Amino acid sequence: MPGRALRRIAVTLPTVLLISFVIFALLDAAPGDPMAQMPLTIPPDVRAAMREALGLDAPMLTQFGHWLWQFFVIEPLHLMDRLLGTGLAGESARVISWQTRAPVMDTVIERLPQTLWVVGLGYLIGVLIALPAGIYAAARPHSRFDRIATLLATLGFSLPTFFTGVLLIVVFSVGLGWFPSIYDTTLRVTSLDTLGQQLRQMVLPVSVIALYNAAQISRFMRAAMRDALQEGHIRTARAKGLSERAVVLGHALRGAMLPVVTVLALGAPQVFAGAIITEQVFRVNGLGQLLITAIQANDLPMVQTLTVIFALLIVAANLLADLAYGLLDPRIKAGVDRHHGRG
Amino acid sequence: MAVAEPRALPAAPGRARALRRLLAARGVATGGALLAALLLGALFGPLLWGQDPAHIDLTARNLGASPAHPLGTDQLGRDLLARLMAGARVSLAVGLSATGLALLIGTGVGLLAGMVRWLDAPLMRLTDLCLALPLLPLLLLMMMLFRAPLAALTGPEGGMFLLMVAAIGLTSWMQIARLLRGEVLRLQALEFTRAARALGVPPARLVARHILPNALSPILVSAAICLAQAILTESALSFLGLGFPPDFPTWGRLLLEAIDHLQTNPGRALWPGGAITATVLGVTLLADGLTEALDPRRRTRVP
Repeated sequence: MPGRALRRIAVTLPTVLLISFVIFALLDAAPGDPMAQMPLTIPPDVRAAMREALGLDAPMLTQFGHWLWQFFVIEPLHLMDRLLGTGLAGESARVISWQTRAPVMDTVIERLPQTLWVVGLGYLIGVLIALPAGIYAAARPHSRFDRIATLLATLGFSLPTFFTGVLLIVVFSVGLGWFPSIYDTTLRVTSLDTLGQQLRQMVLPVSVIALYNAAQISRFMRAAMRDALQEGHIRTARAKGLSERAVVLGHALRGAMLPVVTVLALGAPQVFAGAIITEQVFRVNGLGQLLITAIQANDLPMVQTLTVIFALLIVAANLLADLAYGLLDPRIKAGVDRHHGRG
Repeated sequence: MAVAEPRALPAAPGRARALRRLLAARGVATGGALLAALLLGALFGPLLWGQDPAHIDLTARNLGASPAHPLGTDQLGRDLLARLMAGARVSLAVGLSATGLALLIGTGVGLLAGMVRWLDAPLMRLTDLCLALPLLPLLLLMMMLFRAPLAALTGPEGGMFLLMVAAIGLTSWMQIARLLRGEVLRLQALEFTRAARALGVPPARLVARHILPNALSPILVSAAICLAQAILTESALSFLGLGFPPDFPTWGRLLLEAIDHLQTNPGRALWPGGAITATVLGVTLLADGLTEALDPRRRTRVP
């Protein structure tokens, strides 16, 4: 419903503001100082003038306002200039990393493809394994397939990604020597040979992410499907004499997909954050590794930008999940609004 | 809850039945045994083994398994079995304390939201907001920002323990709060709480006598999951090098150190990683069994 969608979007804006503020306030308490690297020979009055020029003396709310303007207006303008060749942003100041003295967003855009490829592919493969496995296991509860799938899912759920990564390296890199343990990001795909190399080095990190997500999502899919199969209209469909296939795929799946869609949408951004660990294990220089190095180097603008980006992804996924719910659930279309927070 | 009983007077028979069903389930037995073994190992292992996990012996570096060192030694010649058991204490202590904190906050927020009508909307918005925070990046951030000040206050290890418990506890109460609020709302609509209210039972007694005992099982299940997550988070932070100081053994730290020696001693990574996995597996099996045994809809189905 358009009204409902608009209301949801309107609620999202203060959420974004609040989350940005929480992160900003947390970082404001940090001991780091952009003036720390300046030579000690600078006289105190010049130092004070420089602090003023950098806006460090302004009250925190003013600084927050400046930062909001930079992040949500200036940076997108620069991005547009870069993509479309326009000159909207002009000479306006950008968010600069203390580490590289280059605009933060340029580095982020440089690192984004690695993360998207490895993490996105891993999540996609995980979902493609999990959905059929969960549906089939729920349709035949206590069967051999169900028991094996449940066991594997419980095991996969309990294996942290930093351990599966290490295990895979021990078996497939150290033991068998099939795949490299370190992701070489300088590799340029120019021929069939380098393409093969690229695919080979993606196998291990992608599998780690795929396995973990397949385990989590299939557990959820199975539970949702089992609940859906206990509904009254399923009994009716069976009593009508429909085939089990038609009952499961035609009637139960639609109801079962509702909660699963939410989980899928909400899981996607968490995967980005969770990939911090996988990227660290395989030395993929994506966004997660960028965050870790920025934290270790006390590079506050970079840390702040990345954390806010992760937060924005989560908020956007929340919004998408909610809108999808509105489209999929006929009860919401009919105007029977669900109470927030009661699943 | 017990639908079949004509009078819902004594709770004991139903509870005994639930307990019997619980123990009959294979998953619960396996999970319980795993956890019991780990807890016993953490509590009594160091007393029985008696080697100092911090004792450096440079003549016995990077050894494989031998009677003197069943799991071998690390790059400084420290006994890995002793370090694994010391790590178990730290990981379990952090996990249990953080879960305790999360339970405290989550129960408080959930109860208030469920019982006090005008607090419901703001508290649930707060919960939703916290659920939308990027937790791992924020945890990393907290580690970076507050490590030095706290270490100056209480020493590097104590400060890190407090910080770890606070950070994990403060970021994992939301699920418990949402769940408990739902339970409170459901229970308040039931006859017996309405009867108690009509008899003039004050809200505090209503919560203590009628609501909390009946909401106990879902809270326990989510606390178990919270424990598993807390141990995973602590290991992840240590694994990323942002946890306890380097010479302080935790499972995540041991795994991180093992990575540099994967080529020469791949077995070294298996023990700490296996210990983390066994803990989480035990807790998950236990929680799954609890849910299955206590869910009234599934009661008839459990063999």
